[in-house]
Amino acid sequence: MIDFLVLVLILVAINSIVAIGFNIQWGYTGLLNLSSITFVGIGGYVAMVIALPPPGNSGMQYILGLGWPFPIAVLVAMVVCAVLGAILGAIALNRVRAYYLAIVTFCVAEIVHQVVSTYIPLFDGNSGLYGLNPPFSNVVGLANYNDLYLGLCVVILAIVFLFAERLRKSPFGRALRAVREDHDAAQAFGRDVWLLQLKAFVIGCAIAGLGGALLVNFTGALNPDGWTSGETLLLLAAVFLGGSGNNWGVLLGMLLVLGVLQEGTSLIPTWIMSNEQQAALQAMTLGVLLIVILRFRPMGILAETADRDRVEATRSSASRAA
Amino acid sequence: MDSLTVLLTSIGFGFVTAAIVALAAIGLSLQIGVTNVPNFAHGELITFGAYGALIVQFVTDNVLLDTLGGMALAGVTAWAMNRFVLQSFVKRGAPRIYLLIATAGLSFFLQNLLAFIFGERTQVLQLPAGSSTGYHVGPFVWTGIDLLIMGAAIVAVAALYVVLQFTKFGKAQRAVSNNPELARVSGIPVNRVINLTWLIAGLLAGLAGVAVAGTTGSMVPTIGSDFLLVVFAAAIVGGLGRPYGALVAAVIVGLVTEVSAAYLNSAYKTTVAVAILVLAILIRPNGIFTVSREIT
Repeated sequence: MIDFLVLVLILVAINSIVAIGFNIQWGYTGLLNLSSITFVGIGGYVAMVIALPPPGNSGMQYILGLGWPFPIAVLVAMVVCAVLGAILGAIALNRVRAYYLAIVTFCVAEIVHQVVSTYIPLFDGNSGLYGLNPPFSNVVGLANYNDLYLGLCVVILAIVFLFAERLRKSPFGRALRAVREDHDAAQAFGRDVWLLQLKAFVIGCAIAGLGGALLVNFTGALNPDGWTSGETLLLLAAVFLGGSGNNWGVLLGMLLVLGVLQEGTSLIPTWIMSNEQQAALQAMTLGVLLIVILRFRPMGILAETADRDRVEATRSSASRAA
Repeated sequence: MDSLTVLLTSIGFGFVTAAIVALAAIGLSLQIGVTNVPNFAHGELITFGAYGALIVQFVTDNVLLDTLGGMALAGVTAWAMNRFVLQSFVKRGAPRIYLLIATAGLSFFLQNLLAFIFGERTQVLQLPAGSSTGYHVGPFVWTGIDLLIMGAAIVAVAALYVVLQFTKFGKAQRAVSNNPELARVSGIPVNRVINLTWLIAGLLAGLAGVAVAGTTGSMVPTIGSDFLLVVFAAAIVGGLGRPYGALVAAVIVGLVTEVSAAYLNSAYKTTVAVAILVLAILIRPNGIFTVSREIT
């Protein structure tokens, strides 16, 4: 039972990291990036091909295969995701706003998914990659390994969380919210809206890549079934349930959606329903949950807090105007 | 096969795909034009069409009744989706991006409802005897079922044309699409027009669903969602709210996907259509066949 709990918490921690990245894009800036999970996938693959030895006669085909250590693999994954995010963001944000951005990113996710699962020389196509040894396992051993990995994920989650909170309270964070609330007004006040949005987009993509790298180092394997639109919906449900723009809410949402709803229902015994039906039921619940939140409490359980700095900023600008 | 035969065969497939995409895209285009709701669950209406035909098939093998059953299920589902879920969002003035996410939630719910009931395994749709016989029509070779699909699509589009051009409902629909507030104060029953539009979009998508299942004789719960972006491509390239634009765009999308499949890996079929969609949105978000307008 404890082992199962540790396993669930590792997944919750990794997915919370991804969700915080998504929150910087959607919650802070109002950019609905439906390709967030694609960057998790790319981050995962890049981390794998950096850390895995050359394919040799393993039966898999993939690029690179450098056999470099874990920390470098994670960093490279983040950099690659940031660069790809910058390319996608620079083009898309220049042309479209909120609603069409969602459709464009959704399409890009679909294109990348199809190409990666079809084009075998890149990441071994539909069968995906496997055989990655857990990081530092030769030093710490495999006994109680999950406990240690949970510790590592929680530390990284804490760093990402603090970073996101600092970002939120910074002038940059306020500018992002201004862009979210009123694109045209922010522009009229001399903000480079495109650049602000692009920065938020790139930060979110890099954090998604970090999550992907942590995920594959835990599972040791990744294939295209691991990053589908279903995962995107889970991410959306968690962020909307917890509270868009509120990082505590995002943590709570991920704990409830992934920890309680997804992993909890997997404890339903198979004599009540088959595993297939269980998966379908989880997905149905997720869909209904998303609709119900959006309809009755779109700000989520923990709504975004009105910051003190915002009130003060308003007051000081008002007094300056007077 | 020589290269000309390859090309002609793929063009032949292209017209069948175009017929299917056109049915679904015309409905989507009309519905978005009138209601301004981006429907990510449109793929599931296609799926419900296929499964509706499957359900009726438990009772009778008559292909016409199966088709009508599929259309009816998809039509009622579309109507109910609007009536019981989306309408309340619209009434509260929810942002369009919420509607987009809500329909994505609906899509997930409906798709997995079918997976829950029927399982994810392939279900067989019985086709009429002799439907796999090849017929030579001009330079193309089509099976009986291909001809049936294209025939049904032409009949459906012609019927829709009559409804849109020559009935009071068609006129009211154009009015609502153009300016819902003005339509409302002019005494047009806007809600009834919207409900009927959802029903029509569902009926057309349902017919497309039966057709998709008909081409392979089988179905899985993701049969429609695999088509979603292809249908969106046709609807957006054609210009939302412009059913005839969607028709032309569907022919283009159908031909391009099938011809590209003859030369590239056929797994890239939908990738090509999705790439067209991305380019269309980035270059001309209001559609290729529309007058340029300021967008947000």
